[in-house]
Amino acid sequence: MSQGPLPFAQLLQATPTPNRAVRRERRQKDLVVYLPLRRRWFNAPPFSWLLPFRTEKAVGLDHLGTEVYEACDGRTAVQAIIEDFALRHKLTFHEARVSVCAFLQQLTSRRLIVMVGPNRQEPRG
Amino acid sequence: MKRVAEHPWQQVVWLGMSLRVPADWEILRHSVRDDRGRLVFADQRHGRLLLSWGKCAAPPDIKRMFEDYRARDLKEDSQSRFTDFQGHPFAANATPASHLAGWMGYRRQRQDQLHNEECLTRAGRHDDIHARWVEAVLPWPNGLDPAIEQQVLSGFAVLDDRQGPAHWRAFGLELISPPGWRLKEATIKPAEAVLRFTDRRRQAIIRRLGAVDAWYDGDAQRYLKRQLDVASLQITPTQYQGAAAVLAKAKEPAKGWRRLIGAKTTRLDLVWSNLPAGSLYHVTTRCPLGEEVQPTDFSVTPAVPEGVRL
Repeated sequence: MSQGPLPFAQLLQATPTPNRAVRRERRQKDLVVYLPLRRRWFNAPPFSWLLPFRTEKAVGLDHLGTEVYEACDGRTAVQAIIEDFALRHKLTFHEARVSVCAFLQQLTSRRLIVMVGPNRQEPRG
Repeated sequence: MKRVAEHPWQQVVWLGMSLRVPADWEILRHSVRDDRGRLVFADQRHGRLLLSWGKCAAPPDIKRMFEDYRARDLKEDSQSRFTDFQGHPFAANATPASHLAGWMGYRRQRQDQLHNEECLTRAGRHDDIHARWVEAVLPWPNGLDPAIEQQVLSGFAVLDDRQGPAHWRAFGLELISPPGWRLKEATIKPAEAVLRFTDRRRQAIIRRLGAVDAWYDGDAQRYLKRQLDVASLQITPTQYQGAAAVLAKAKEPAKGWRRLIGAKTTRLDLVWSNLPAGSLYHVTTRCPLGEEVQPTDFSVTPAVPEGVRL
């Protein structure tokens, strides 16, 4: 799996795919997503009997964030997400690109989505 | 010509230069200096036009200049082919008949490492009104389109706005600034374009805020109160460009050393929204007492592509 940044043309064709381990909770227009935390040695008993360690991390998304996050369905390419966002909010393509790509980068760094490059969509047999 | 008809076109007016480009070409880099600068346009994936200018009091030796350009391009790739705008072999000493709407230049074609044909148009002209040399470079990532080339180059014009009001059209804004005002700064962010004009100690800031559906509740007064932390704020409902607007007046301490002597400035704000354009417009003027400029002295309207109605 590639870890480096994707070239711009490939980034537009990439499909952001949500992390399936994430739990979602809708609060009116906003969304809270819960990401399970990795269980470390100190999270296990007997330490966890004494201290209530959290088992998941919550990330709150406002309605714009929710809109972009929900568009990350593993089928829609970044370019299509940008175009939809631009059309919905009457922005130009590059205005929407800057906002959407920055947000996708945040989602990626928080492990809520992964970017699947255009030539890596097919699962290996 | 079919490919041209598919595109709506937009007019861009910047620093006394007017040009027509396809509506999907956006400005990604800009300069506010009229003696030297550039505008970089790109479509969704590629750079499409680099328009650059520099001070040049008298027309330069254009033939020699293009010979130099060609020599430089040849040095980069000796297999490059050069043609004029009619497709004939390029000659720097060609007659003006081979020029295009006042532009002298050539098309360079060459094979890249993957044996794809790479094409670029390079053109230049002298702007006698503002005494500057203007150069246009059009890369053709999807192959040369002579119709777009012809329309972009022939759609270029120089406006004489040195004495009178100046016309601006870019970043979703169309505005006319009163005589004597100069663009000092243009800050462009997603859904926010801010142009700052100055005239000696007077200042005007024109803002276009986009994506209003996401953050604006339709109450211009509340928006203005959130923006301004001024005690002596007088807000008056008014009309601007046929839309409901809000005008606010306040006195602020002057900037810099003049604050020390108790000098004040008058701040005037005019806010209105255009929901079909998805934008809110906010014009602020800050002037020393007795030298006030009304925000309405700047004519501000949404800039939309040709053939589009709001």
